Amino acid sequence: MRFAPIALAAALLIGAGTAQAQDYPSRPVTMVVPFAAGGPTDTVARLVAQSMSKTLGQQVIVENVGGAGGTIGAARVAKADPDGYTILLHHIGQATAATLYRKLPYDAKTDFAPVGLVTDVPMTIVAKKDFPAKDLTELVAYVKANPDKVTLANAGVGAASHLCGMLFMQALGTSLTTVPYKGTGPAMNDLVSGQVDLMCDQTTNTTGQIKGGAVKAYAVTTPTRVPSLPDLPTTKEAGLPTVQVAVWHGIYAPKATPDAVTKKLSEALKVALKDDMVKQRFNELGTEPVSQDRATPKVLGDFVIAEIDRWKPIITAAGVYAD
Amino acid sequence: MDNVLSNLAMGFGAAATPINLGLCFIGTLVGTLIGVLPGLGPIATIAILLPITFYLDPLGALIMLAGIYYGAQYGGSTTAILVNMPGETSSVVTTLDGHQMARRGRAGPALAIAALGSFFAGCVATFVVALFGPLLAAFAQNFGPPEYFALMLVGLIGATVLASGSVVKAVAMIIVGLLLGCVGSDLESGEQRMTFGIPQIAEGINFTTLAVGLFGVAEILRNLEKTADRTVLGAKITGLMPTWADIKQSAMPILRGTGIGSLLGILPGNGAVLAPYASYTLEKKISKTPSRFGKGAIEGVAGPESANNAGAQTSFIPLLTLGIPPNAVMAMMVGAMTIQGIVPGPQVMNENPTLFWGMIASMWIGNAMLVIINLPLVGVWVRLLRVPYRILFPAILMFCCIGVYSINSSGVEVMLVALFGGIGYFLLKHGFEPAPLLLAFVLGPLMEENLRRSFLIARGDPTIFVTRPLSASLLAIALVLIAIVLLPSVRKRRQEVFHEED
Amino acid sequence: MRVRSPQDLVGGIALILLSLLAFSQIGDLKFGTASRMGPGYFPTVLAGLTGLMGLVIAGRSLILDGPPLDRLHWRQALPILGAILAFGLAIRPLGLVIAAALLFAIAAFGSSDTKWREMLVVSAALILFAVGLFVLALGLPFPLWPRF
Repeated sequence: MRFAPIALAAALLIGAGTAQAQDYPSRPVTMVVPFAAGGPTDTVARLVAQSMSKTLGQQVIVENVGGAGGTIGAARVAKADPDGYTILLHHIGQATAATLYRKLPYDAKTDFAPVGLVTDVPMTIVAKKDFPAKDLTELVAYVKANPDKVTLANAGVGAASHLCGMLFMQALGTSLTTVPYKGTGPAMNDLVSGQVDLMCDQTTNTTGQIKGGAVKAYAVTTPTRVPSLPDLPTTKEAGLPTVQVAVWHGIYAPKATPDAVTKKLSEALKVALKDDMVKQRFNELGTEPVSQDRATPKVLGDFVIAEIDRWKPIITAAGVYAD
Repeated sequence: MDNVLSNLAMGFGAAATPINLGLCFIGTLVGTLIGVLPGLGPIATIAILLPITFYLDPLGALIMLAGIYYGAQYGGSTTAILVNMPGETSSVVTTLDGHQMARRGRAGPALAIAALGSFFAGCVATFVVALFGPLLAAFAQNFGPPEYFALMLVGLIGATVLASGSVVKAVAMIIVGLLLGCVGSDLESGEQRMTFGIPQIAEGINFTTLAVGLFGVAEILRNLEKTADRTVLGAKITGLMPTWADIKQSAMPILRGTGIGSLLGILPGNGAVLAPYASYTLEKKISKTPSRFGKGAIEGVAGPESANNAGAQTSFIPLLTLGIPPNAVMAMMVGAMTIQGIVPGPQVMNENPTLFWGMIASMWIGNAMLVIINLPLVGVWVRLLRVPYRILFPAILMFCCIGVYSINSSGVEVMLVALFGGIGYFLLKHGFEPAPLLLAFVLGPLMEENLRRSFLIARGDPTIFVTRPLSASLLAIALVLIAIVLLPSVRKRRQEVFHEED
Repeated sequence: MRVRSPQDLVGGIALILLSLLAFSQIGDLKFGTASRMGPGYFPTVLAGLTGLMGLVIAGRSLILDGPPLDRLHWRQALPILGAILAFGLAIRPLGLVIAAALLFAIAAFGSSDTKWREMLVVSAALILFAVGLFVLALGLPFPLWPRF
């Protein structure tokens, strides 16, 4: 009994050796998801992590570090050892938190070594099922004519639905009554039962309701139509070209992680994005893996900076902060 | 009707394959065992076990998850009864009389009646889901923000009845609970409210952290005051199974609890949290001897436990028929479904009938398995009470710390447990009861949210609360409840109760 | 004037202090109006009510008879609370095994009849159980040992 802990300690220390880039990874990699288990980001992370484990030959373990809109988990990775054993999978919030939070313990532009983009989840503009407008053009006209009659739901400050809502109002040049909820579930419930009029949310949350006829869909906010909803026009086709938004997901390591390590991670990510199982599950979620050339450190690095700069004026104009 | 029967038969066919039966058994067993560990409720348990279901087929995964859910809830009640620690909101009420029964040597009957009541409620609720699921879901859609606000108000006023001591102090605890519920970022503006700059509470104080501190740690401190050489038991154990008198006393509370739970569970706005409280309040109000409540009244275990399980079951209705998760556990189910490639929504029932009916059938099977697992375990748990407290308390402490840590991998949240433990001990020592505080803590944010949302939707017009018939009736009930609480005769009886206890 | 219910007096004062603490944190959160509530509306009203209840309970202690003060047992309470704090501080940098060992070592001072040899065995067994269940069987991402 007394020796058991020592034996266990020895067993666990073996393989913990030094983190050399060439023999990386020599122990399990922790992938931090800055949200609760079971959420959409967690789902993406677990699908990718499972496939990456096979390629890397070491387990990629998902750790949920929720709280403060994803900034607690991001801060933890920013401050972790830059050895590639602690990585972050975060969504668009990585870029918007930079403006939504005025006091962050890290800098989203400089404190991370990007690994690669994972997926873009398109968003859809939906309304309660008996909403009068027939298509997006009518919707725009109706909203512009009755700005004080239409309510716009979102899933809370900083949520994708909140960002898309701001973009939508900016494109129309109107300000609607926004009704915030704690999470997509209750917001969708009130949309389905007709308590609120409009919402713009991820396909992950809306596809089922659209297919089931519980809500009316107007457009999808990506450049091309999504395969799971082939009849739904894009915002560009339907006449609102500036409402372009997708919930993109990216993987990051702490800054100063050796290039060889981020490259290895990026290669494993690319393999995961080609994995049939991952592709199929992503499709069922109404999303697709990004193309192979976007799953790279360079593309994600540039993209994060572009997105931070893109959202900054929109969030500042709305005057909403999360701290 | 024929249709439902043939659908149910199909469901049982899908759920009763050897593999699915095995998964159901593993789910309920593992759920029970982890749920029993103090500090680990259903939410933590499912979060921990979610990855395991990753490798299964969709129906199997959901059956196992549902099993973990009921199992953890059963396990949580066991912990509530044995060591006075609620693992989640719904077992707070069970601590009141359940733990008192345990202290009086009647842990066995308390555990057994909880299991039997839950089984009965589970059976009834399974058929409610199968027969009326879509119909009830359509009705529940009439509940908008004003209705939820009114419902939460009714719940809060009813919370004063939870107290066995002074009403004034219970009201104070409700207000403090509401105040604590405000901590975190404001839903509308995103501003931080009373967070003292601690990022770990930026989204609000975690229920588990608060409950483990206020109940669990405070209880340990109280027990350690006396010499720790003794056991939790204050009295000799008198019988493991309920007597005939116990069962007769529990029959009606179980029936009423099942009804209340089934109704509240269908509300997509997390009405199920109110179920055990509503049942307890009702039983205490209609009892001929309300003074027994809080001191080990078996009705106070039988009713709420049945209500809890019925509500847990029927809260699958919004998820299965509308694709809307009413609470955190169901939100995790959505995650599990999406991992499995099923997009929750109203179309699941038609596109995936085997999955839909298979899951409903598995609910009944799971409940039956829980009784089979739990009744023999009653003896084991009761024996646990004989373990000297000086050995038991370090174990409880460790599981609490691990449980709280596992939610967000956060050491700071563990440290908050110490803070709330200290506060809980202070409350205990000054005649304040933590149960109303905890209920208000859960209901407060729901109430504020829905109140402000109602005004947003109505554009500041307060008549929205009285022009909608459902909201108006609920507010009328709230008024009646206030009248009952304030009625002098009732108050006098309360005073008597209070003095009786001194 | 005589204090008839010391428990209520202390409890009431604590509520008043809590109310002041809440007010200090509410700061300049916008109050709004009843039909357009700002983020400060609920907290301000509730902090006010908390203080009011404190006054009522403290005031009542001068009129109604109540139980005497119950002694706070700091010798038991401090080690237990300290043990939890230690676990919270230690778990991330030092890992589960050392954090749990610290928890047991400090908590042991909270019980008046700790038998040290027995505690050692119980601690070792519990740590093994926790590691086996949470880390090995369930695969939770807990750090087990300090990282060098």
